[in-house]
Parts: sequence; structure tokens; C-alpha cells
Amino acid sequence: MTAIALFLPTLLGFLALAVVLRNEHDTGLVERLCFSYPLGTGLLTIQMFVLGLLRVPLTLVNTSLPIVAEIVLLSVLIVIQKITIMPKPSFGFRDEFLSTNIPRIKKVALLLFILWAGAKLFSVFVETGLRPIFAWDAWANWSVGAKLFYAAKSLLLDSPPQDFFASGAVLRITAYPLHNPMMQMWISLWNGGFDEVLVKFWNPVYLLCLAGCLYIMAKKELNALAAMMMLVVFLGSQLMSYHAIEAYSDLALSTYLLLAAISFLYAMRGREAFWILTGVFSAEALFTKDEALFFIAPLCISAVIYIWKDSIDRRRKQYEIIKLAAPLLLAAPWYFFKFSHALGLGANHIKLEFTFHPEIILPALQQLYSLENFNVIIVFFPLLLLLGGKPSQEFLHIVLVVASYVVFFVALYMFTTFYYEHFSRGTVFFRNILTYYPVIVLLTILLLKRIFLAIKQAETPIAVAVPKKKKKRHRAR
Amino acid sequence: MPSINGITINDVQLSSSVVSFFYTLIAIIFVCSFVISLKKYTFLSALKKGVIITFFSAGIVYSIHADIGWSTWLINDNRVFGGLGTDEKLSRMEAGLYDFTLAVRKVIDDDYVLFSSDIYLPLRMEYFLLPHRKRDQAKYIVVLVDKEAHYDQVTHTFTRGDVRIDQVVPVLVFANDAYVLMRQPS
Repeated sequence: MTAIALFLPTLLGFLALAVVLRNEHDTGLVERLCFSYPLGTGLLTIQMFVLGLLRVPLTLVNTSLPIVAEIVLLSVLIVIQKITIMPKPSFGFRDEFLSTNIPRIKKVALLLFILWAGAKLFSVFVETGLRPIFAWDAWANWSVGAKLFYAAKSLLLDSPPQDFFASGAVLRITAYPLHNPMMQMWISLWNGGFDEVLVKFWNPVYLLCLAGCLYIMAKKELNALAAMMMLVVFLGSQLMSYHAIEAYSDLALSTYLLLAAISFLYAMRGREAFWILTGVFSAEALFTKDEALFFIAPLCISAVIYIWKDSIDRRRKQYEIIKLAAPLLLAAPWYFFKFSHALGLGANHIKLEFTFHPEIILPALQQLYSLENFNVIIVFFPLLLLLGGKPSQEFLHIVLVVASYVVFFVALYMFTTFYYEHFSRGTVFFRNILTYYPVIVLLTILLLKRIFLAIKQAETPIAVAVPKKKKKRHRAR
Repeated sequence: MPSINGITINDVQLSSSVVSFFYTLIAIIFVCSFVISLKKYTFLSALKKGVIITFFSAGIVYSIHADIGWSTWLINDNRVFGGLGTDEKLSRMEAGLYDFTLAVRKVIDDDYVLFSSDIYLPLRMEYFLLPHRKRDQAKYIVVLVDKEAHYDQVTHTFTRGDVRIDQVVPVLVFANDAYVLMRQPS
């Protein structure tokens, strides 16, 4: 039943993607599948929340019916409009292995990396199935909401004040968005009970999608072997696999932020349908964790600046901004509910008390260069940035978003007592990085592309010059 | 490598010797690849080539190290939890706490008061007993590892510091420091 629970939102996302990208021929099957699951689950949980707000009992039938109806409607639309639903598979391994231009050693290396990455991803699913929920925030906050909503088949909005919206139970934080508890509830509805192992299975699929998206991106920008190596390095970042087996929200947020960034990148490259997806994934990120706001706000500003600078046609500018902004309304019900009930941003127990600790910069840098959790990518990123030369416009538009997000976290650690204490205890720093780490990997891929090109250009004249020199020497002898 | 224990979800720490090893490895790979590249490329291109080779080589070696650690977790977890049902897994993970919770679930049908002098255990128990909620006043009284709690079997009185609850009877005695009392209707 868990498989069906995960398949239905994937199908919804896949069909919705087929409609949005109907004139788009550059996205292959694998890339679409990797976009489909996060897209579908985001739409599912937002709908469940809206149903809960409307006091519709959150039973299996009531939550599944809208999804099934949407799947049927989208299918009809696809048939009527003759939209291509199955683009070509885009792994490209077949071409790599059949090519006679690629040396055998590279093919063997490619095969080994494929097996390695495949085994790692498989093992993440196995580990998810082995362990029940064990990590503090997962059970003390996220799963508490899921359990209570599941038992009540509602969001407990008509309960007495002490129980309103499942408040007061264990350490539940009512201000946190509901994507995570709604996913656990959805799986529980399909399984007919809250199972401490099965309710986590939505999370490793996010890692699978992240891996797929980053691989496809790297393959497009670099080559298949470099892309597979990049994937192995990415999957060798311990905290990614660690979070994938738990019921935490950080990995889901990192997926949405990456997909919003990739969609923004594609939109900047003239693939206009991706403006809509930038907006949709941004809205879904906002419904996953509060801190998303501090990535999505600069992303929207960056996108609007790009649109304004890029296009001369005023009507086209407006049209693109609407395509970006309209999907953000998906997050409106949550924010309306959140602020109308004075839930605020962040945990309920946080007291906004200001302080000033500039000295955190040094330990933060030490931790950043400690090589813990994120392989060598973060250590090499500044170096690659320097060697990459003058950055492209698209790179700048994304890197500035990440920089703003990093500044936001540094400001939290430096200026607020609560986060300064958590930073000192080592409970927030790496987890916060995890949320934008896949975007750093995306930026690394873009930098590697520039450096690869520069090296290739440097190779060409020497390769032409060498035989001539040899010829001259031979003649002289 | 630390084992999965619910704390390291924030950070998988590396020992200083491992960090030193990686930085030494990075330096060696970089120097070698840079020197070799200098024979074919200009200084800047050789630098770029050297950094790229170092990035991927060090990344792959790091991944080998990380995945050996990961495999150790996996093998260990498979040994501990493999083939068990969810309740059995929780029972093994939380030892007596989950077994007590299962027993409590069978005897309570309503909200409860929970007394404990521990920090982690009552929160975890509260989580396991959901959707029954912990209250200040409730029909059931759950006592879990509480140094101050005392139940007098003769007078049917429960006391804990300033708290005194009369007319309670035991409905479950799991251990000396883990039991459930129920208020008798007055």
C-alpha cells in the first residue's frame, strides 16, 4: 500500500508536468520522473491541508478522490490535445556503451560508478525499512502532528484551545508547515494505520529524485562519466543519506529548492514553461519548511530582475512574471492560516532575543572546512569559483540567491540568542547547509562546465601545433 | 564512524586523523596532477586541470570512506532489526520503554497524567501513547522512572512532592518504577 501511496502523487505530477511542458522537447523521461514525485507530493499535501481547512474529514476516500479526479482530468486533456506523454529515456548510457569513440577503460569506469550509485541508493531504501523513526525532531515534532491528525481524521481545528491544531502534544511545533505530517498521514491512510517504519518511505524517494536531477543536469553540462562521478561524490555526502532514512523535512526542502533553482535556470535559458515550475516548486518549498521563505524571496527577486533586464517587450515581461507568481498562490492558504492564527515563523518556543556574536564566523568556517557531512564539494567550491573565470549571468542569478540564504543563516547565528546557542551546540549548522547543498552541487556543475571548456580550448591549439613541430624536427635531422 | 543513535542526525563527525589524511591526499594529488599537467598546458590551464583531477579523485576516495561507514551502519542495523516487525524493532530500539508502552496501551482508554524524573523517557512515552494525551488531570496516572513518586497500597494514595492523589488503584504494575494507577470514582 505504501507503494500505491507514493505512486499516485508521482502519476499526478507526471501528468501535470506533461501538460505544463507540452511544447518542451528537451526534458527526457528520467528527468520528468524526477520532477514528478516532488511536484505531485507537494500538490497532494497542499490539497490535504485545504481539505482540512474546509473541515472535510481527512479519510482515505476524501483525500484520494481529488487526486484521482485530477489524474483523470489531466489524462483526458492529454488525449484531447494529443500531448506527448512519454518523452525518450534520457539516461544516455546506451549511447555511451555502444560508442566506438569512448575508450574501454572509461566504459568500465562508467559501469562501476553506475553500480556504485545504484547500490548506494538501494541501500538507503533498505536502511529506511530497517529502522523505525528514531531521531529527536522526527518523532517529537513532525510525527506527533501526523499521528494526531491521522487519529482525528482532521487538522483538529475545532478542538479545545489546548488541543487546537495538535498543539501541546510532546514537542509539536504548530508554526511549522505541514508537508511532512501530511505525507506521513497519507501513507498511514493507505496502510490503515500509523506504522513507525512505513511512514518514512516518502523521504528516500526525494533522495532518488535529487540524485536523478543532478545526474541529468551534470550529463547535459559535462559528460556521462563526469556526471556519474559527480553523482557518486554527491551520494558520498553522509548527511544526505542520513536524512533520507528519517522523517525529517530538510531533505524534502533541499529537493524543492534544487528543483526551483533548476527550473529557474531552464527558464533563463529560454524554456518559458519552466517559469511556472519555478513558481510551483517555490510554493511547495514554502509548504515544507519555514526557512524556505528566505531562499524563495531572493529567488523571486532575482527572477524578476532577470525578466526585466532580459526582455524588451513589456507585455512579455508581465506575462512571464505572472507565470512565475501565480503558482506561488498555492502556498497562500498556509500563510493565511498561519498568520491569522498568530502561529508566527519558526518554533513556538523561540523568543526573539537579540545578541551579537561575530566570533561565530571562525568556528563556522572551521566546520565548513572540516570535511564533515558534505564530501569535498563545499571545500572545493570557492576554488572552482575562482578558476571558473567571469561567471555567466545565469550562474550569478542563482549564486546570489544562495548567498542571500547563507547570509540569512549567518545572521540568525550571529544576532539571535536562540540560534547562537543552537549553533554552539552543533545542532543546526550542518542541517541548515543540507537545505541548500544540492543547489551548491548544481552551481558546482555549472562551474565545472566552464572549466572543462577552458581546458578543452587550451588543448586544441597545442594538439594542432605538436605534429607540425615534430615534422620540422624530423626534416632538420 | 559513529553509529546511528538519534544525535548524529545533525552531524556525522570525522576524526581529526581522517581529516588530516584527506587534506594530505588532496595536496598530494594536486601537486602531482599539476606538475604532470604543466608539461602539456599553460600555467593557468594546468592549475585548472590539477584542481579538477584533485576534486574528482579526492571526492571518490572520500565517498569510499563514507560508504564504508554507511555499509557498517547498514550491516549492523540488518543484524539488529532485520526480519523484525515494527513493534519488535521498537522494542529492541527502546528496550523496556516500548514494552511498557505496549502494556499501558492495553489498559488505558483515555488521557493520562505522566510522572517521571527523566527528560527523554516521558517525552518518548508520550509520543508512543498518542492519540491519548498527557494532561494535568486525567483518569489514569502513569509513573515512569520517578524517584519522588510513591504509591501507598494500604491507603490507595499516590504522592509525589506536593502532589497527593487519593483513591487510586493499580491497573498495571510493569516494574517497581513503571506502573499505571487509575482514579476510583468518589
